[in-house]
Amino acid sequence: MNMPELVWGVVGFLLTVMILSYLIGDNFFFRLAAYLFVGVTAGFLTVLIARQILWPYLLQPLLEGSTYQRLWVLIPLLLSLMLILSQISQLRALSRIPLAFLAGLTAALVIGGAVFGTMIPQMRAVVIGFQPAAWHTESRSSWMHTVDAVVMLIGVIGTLSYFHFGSRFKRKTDSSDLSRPRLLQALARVGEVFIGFALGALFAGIFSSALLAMIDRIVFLGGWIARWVGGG
Amino acid sequence: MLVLICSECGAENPLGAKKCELCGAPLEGIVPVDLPRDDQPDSPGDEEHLTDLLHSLKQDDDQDQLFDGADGEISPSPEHDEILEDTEQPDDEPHVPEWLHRIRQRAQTEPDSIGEITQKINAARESLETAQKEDQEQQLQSVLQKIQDEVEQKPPDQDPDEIEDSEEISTPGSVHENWLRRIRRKHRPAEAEDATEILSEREGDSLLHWLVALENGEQTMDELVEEAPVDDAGRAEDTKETAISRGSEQATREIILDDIKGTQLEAMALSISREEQARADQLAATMRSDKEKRPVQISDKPAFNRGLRLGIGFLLITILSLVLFMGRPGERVSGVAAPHVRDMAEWVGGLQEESMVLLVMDYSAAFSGEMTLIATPILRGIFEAGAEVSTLSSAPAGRLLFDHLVEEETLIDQRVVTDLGYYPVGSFGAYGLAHQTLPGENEPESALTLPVKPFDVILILGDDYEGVMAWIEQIKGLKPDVPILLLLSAQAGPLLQPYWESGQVAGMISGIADAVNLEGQNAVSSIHWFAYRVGIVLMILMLVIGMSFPSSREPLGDDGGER
Repeated sequence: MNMPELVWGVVGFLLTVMILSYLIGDNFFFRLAAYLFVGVTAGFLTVLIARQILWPYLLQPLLEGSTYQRLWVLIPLLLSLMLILSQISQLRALSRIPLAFLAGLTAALVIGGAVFGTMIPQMRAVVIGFQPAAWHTESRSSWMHTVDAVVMLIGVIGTLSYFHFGSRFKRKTDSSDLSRPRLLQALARVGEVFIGFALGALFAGIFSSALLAMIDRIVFLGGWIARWVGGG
Repeated sequence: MLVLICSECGAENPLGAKKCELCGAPLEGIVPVDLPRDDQPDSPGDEEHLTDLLHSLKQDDDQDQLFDGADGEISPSPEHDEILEDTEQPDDEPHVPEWLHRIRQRAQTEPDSIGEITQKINAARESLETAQKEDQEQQLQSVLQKIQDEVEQKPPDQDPDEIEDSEEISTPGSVHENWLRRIRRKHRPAEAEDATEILSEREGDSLLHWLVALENGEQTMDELVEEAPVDDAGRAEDTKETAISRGSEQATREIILDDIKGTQLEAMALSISREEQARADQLAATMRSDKEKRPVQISDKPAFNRGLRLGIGFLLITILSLVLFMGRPGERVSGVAAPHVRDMAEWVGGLQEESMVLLVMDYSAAFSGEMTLIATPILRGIFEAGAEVSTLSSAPAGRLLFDHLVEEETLIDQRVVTDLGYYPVGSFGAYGLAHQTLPGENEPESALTLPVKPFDVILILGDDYEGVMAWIEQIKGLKPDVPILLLLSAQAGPLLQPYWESGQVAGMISGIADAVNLEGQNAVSSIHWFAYRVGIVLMILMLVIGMSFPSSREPLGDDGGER
């Protein structure tokens, strides 16, 4: 074990123990490790953005590019300056332009992606689940594929019904009787079951990942101690 | 001195006058009256009715005039001061007595209380005046004569009230007031009965009763003080009410309180209704509770909880350590790979030399260990096939994680791995990748970060379903023909499974379970898999125990950061 390995091994060992000290509650060592992690991450991110984004996409074209390239990067440069100048109270209104640009662009990307990348394909998947040609060529019988498709359809409808918050229109509205139609209520009950399964699976996944992270740290600690005691 | 009393307005007119100097009413037939004082000035406002005056006081903003004639000092008790501080008294009226302030408050909350009395009494008086219009002069004369006779014939042992009346008559400057008062007393019973009858229905309205009693002359201020009612809660109001009369005879309005002796301030208690008292108690309790120290709920077993937590943690770590370092490394792993895992393996096995593979690093360093176990067999297959690999990071440490991922793989030739850089936002990176447009002729060379050749497969390594979902949505929306493979942590797998079901994802591996099933008996992570299973059993056991025996149901303080 050479010196760098020893030093970084000690640092890693101490940080791991400091994080594990949360077992006895919030304490100074845990907070020190957490703050160190946040600080290192912020510094690393700053350097990373400067090196991989600002320099190659903004500064380098300005300094070394042609006139066309310089004019081209003036747009993001101007928007960036507007965003920075928002720190001055008198010029705060300028930040609305780049923020509006970002908000609009992000909304367009997210909405477009959600519609064409998730909603339509998932709806199509529910429908074609009843189509034998789309079934996987496995040893599963056709009735199992049909059951799968039915369950998926019920789950989709039930989940959508659960998130339906409208109420029945009544001419003489009684505030104590505002409720969804009974059919929707029944479907929502079914949707609750599917949502519960989904959240349970999500929780189990998080649980599993956390456990593997702890196993990884234990392996690291054990391996480092073994190497340190064994003399490398 | 003989004067003529106007039957319309009551003003004194000199003997011989044909018309009233004040109202212009004819004075013909008016019998002259001999008054003790001949220099008594007349005032048109002398006949102000008490309730009218109070009603006008309620609306009168110029309260300072009320104190102009007060010779006594207003010396409220300390309790009185506290109450005045608690009430919302305007700053521009700092010297308004509390009794008047209460009247105003009651008038604001019950706008018809005083006005109703006034209206009723005025109506009764008007009806009385209308009915007795013709006999008024004679009655006035007879009454005045009777009063004078009584004064002259008053025996020494007369009752105090009569003595008071005689004193008032003999008092200079008060003859006119006494005259009006006696007229009012004579005619009051009829109107007072109406008002009392109306107000008797308003139970608990002590202010109205007080006004009526005071108007009727049935109670003096002293009697009211003695008969100060006690509220339902058994608390007597300690505040003293002050009565003020004006001494200025030339003022437009003059308070005539018969039984207030001079300007002496008398204490008077007002009854407080149950609702008022309840609100006052609530307000007092609130103010007191704000000042008091609130009890801090601290678990009575913090040391036990902390010790229990520590013990369980050490137990778990110890057991996992024993399994990891003392277990048999050749633990047999058996399992059947799921369809999406087999699809993944088929895709990787089908790669050819010079195939373009893009690795999207979208996981954080915390999941480095899990991703190493999951991705190692897949990466080995990719590099064994001789594919050309490019990396693109949407996580800050993506490139570092890739280096850590492949550092021990001897098959990797770093020369064929192209770093496409870092995209802070996954959606933008995926969108740009999906377009994959070449920079223009005049654009900088540095913009040429994406390879020209379309990728044969895109492999996404992710730990968060939202980030991976953004990549899938953007790429499949613009490049539906490019297959996508997923290497996911266990927490991201369940919510991304539908994308494989729908065919948007060609294959996926989620968690160590899928990775071990893919490798089977030759899994390099077999010892981790064994420890993982032991840990899962332990954690399930702890969850069951924790649900069965909750350590504490009370919210804890900052004793240990328990959540």
